[in-house]
Amino acid sequence: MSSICLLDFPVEIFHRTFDYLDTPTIIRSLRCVCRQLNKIVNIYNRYEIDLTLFTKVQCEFILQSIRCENIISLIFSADFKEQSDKADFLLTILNIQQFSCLRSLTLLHINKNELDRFLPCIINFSLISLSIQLSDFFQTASLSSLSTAISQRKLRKLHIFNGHNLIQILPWPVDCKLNHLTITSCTDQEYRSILEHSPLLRTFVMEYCLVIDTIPSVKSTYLQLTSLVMNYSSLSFGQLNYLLSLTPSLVHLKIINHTCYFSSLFDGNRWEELIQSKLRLLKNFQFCFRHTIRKLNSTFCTNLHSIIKQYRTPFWLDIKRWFVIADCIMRSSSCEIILYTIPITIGDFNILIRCKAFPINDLCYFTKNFSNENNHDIQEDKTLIELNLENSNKISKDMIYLACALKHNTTIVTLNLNNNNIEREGLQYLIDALENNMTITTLSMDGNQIGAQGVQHLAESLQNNTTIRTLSIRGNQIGDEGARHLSYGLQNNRTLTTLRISRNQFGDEGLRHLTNALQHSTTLTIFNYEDNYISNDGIQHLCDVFRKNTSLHTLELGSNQIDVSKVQHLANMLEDNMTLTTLSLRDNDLSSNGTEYLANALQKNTTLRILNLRLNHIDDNGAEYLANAMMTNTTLTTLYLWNNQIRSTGARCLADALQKNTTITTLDLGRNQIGTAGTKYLADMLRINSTLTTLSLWDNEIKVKGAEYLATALRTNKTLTTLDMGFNQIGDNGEQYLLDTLHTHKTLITLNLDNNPLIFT
Amino acid sequence: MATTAEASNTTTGNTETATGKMIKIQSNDGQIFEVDQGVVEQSSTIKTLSDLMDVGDVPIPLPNVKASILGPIVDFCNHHKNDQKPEPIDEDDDDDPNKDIYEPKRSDDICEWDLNFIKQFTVPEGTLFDIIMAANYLGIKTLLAVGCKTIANMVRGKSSTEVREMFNISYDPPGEGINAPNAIEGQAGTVPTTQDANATGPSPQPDPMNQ
Repeated sequence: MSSICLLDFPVEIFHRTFDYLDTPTIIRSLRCVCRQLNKIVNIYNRYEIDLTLFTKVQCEFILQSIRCENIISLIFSADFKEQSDKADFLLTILNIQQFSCLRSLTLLHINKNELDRFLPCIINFSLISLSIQLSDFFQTASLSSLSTAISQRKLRKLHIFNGHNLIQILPWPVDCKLNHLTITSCTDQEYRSILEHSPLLRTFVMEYCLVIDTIPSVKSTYLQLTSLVMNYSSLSFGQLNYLLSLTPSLVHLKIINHTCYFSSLFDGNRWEELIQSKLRLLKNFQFCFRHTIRKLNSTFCTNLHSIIKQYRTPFWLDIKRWFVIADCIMRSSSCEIILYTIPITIGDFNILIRCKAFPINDLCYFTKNFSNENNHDIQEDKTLIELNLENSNKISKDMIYLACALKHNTTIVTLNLNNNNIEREGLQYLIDALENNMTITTLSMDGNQIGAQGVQHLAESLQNNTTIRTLSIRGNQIGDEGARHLSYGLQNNRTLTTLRISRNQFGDEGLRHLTNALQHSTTLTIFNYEDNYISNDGIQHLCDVFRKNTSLHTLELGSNQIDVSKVQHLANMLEDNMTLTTLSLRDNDLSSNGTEYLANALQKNTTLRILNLRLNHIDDNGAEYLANAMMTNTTLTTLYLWNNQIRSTGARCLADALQKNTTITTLDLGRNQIGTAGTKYLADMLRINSTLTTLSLWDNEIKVKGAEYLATALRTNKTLTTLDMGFNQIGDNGEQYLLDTLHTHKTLITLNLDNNPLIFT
Repeated sequence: MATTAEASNTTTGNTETATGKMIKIQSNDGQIFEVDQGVVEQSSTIKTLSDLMDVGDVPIPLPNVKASILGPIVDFCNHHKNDQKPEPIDEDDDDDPNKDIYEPKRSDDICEWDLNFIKQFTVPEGTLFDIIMAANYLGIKTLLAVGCKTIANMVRGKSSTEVREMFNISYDPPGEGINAPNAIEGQAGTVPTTQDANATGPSPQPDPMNQ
């Protein structure tokens, strides 16, 4: 047990502790604890008071409680309207009282007027540090009063923020004693002039320096400067070289530079040479060079390895121990290369490709974690499983960076490059990178410009690839010539199960090549071939394949202008096909006549489970054919009839069929015209049916009465889980009927009532 | 570059050459500790004494520090001897261009090791005061800063009563009436008027800081 207590501390320990405390705690609490602390507080003479934290009354209280000669630092802000009182008050105090020990004064958000009023007071103090944040731009007004303040004998630090072009109107004193200067910007001439007249200046911090004309030759050097910081410059290597040559004694240098001068600035060899010849004392070099690759002006073509290689020399790694990282950031409009030393903080990004100049290796890898710590424990590259770069405007030049990182990646399973501008050249980088890849099983490149030649290379690589199972290259202008290459690649491939090649301008010839390939394939299960043109012959060929092929179970033929005559071939094939489970014919021209062929086939087919007939001009007759098929068919579970012309009669047929059918679980009748009457039939069906789980009736003019029918039916139904009743003019009452059923009908999980404006009937 | 493992390795390399000479220090209760140059460098007092005395094998007596405090201090210095030292820049010691001018002195920047270290010293046992006094006496700036920051963190935002309770300080009003404890707490802006004529303070008034 110790015998001493807090009050045994010598005064200087108390004062040291006060240095870490806020003013209110000192003058409100500690001062009142006991007599001894009261005395100790009263002789404390290192108050640093931030007046921005207090109201005017509080400021008055503080300045009354503390003797002015005990204050060493004041921060004041004229940020808000109410603060103008405070400015007056503070000016009064500053004029009357002796702030004989004030060393640091910070004036935030002040305008020219206020500054003019403050400066005469400032000149009376023996400030060491002066910080001014200007609230407006001074275009013409001369700042000679500030100039007098700068030439103060004791002033060592000057910070001026928000003063763009300030130096132009600030006559720099002939001789000042500053050793730390922070400004927003200056030109190279002003920079030289300041150095010329500030013989003690050691630290110069600025946002940016402008080198206006051609680079002059270095006539004199300024040995006093040891630290230089440029936080937001955009200079070329030549311009930087010139500025840095002026100050050969630099020990600290920090440059954040965003530029279009790519190749020279990123060149580690040039920097090495510059530092060794002109900055021999440099110990701490932090930089961050950023360059955005845009579509049009990119002439420079390289990869992260070749950039980072120059920073892996003994000079960087062993002598200086400056470690450099190159990141490639994928953005929607561009791709940005960032080269920087660690540690430096440059922001937060989603997915980037990184290459480090460490002695160990220089692999490119993907990372989501933006961390610039050199921490080997963090496995930055172990997380990415799906890489989605959809709509990110990748161009061939960006693909170099992507390919580098893909080459060594062993985690990504799904690669999505949809809707970029990838052409043949970019695709080639990708193909090379994937040559030895053993993880990517899904490759999606819809909406690019691969073309026939691109697909040729892709097809060649597919022959040997045993990893990719899903390939999606919809909308790539592949054409019939490309189809030939593709079929060649497919014939030898034994891995691919899903092929999506919609929207590729295939004609008869293209389809013939592809059907030949399908005929021999034993692995392909999903064939997506929408939005191409299929002729009568073409569909016949395709159907012939489906008679023999036993692996394909999903066929998607939407938007192919399939009409009554062509659908007959499909219907014939369906009659005895034993493998197809999903058939999509959405957006074709089947009409009710074509639907009849399909419906007849469904009476014999025992395999098909999902049939999509959206947007096919099917009317009540077609619905009746399908209803008849559903009486006997016991396999079909899902039927999409969205956006056809089915009315109440058709709805009645379907409802009747569903009273007997026990396999259909999903019926989509959205965007038809079944009306209130049709809804009544469906409602009656729901009382009896115990299989249907999803019913969509979006936009069917059901009205309040129809909603009431359904609501009543749902009281007895125990199976429906999803009911879409959107856009049906059912009004508030209709909504209420349906919402009420939710209390009793506990199975209904999703009830969509969107877009049901109240109408008066 | 201080964060790189490689960087700290070189520092270690440098100190190893300097550690050759071991120095003995003795607590006021007679216990002797042997410390290397890396530890000596951190204490201006030990450094001055060792330079002055050049005692060889004779332990340097430290009459103000007992073994139970000196032991942990040696641990502290041993842990911090490889820390990168601030750039030795003449007169002006905060020339760091990265330092924010508006930033007040911070007390929330005590590193985790130091936090755990200082936790073993408490107010009820008085050891927290012992370690701060010893750091002050030995001239160990970093430890003194950790101690002062810890005290600052304890009292920040607390009322006078809470501070009194925390440190077991008895209130010593010189008079009655408004200076009685209850009256004072009701008006935190006031100060106890002491018999000392030099002590100044505002007259009792509502506390504007409470607004």
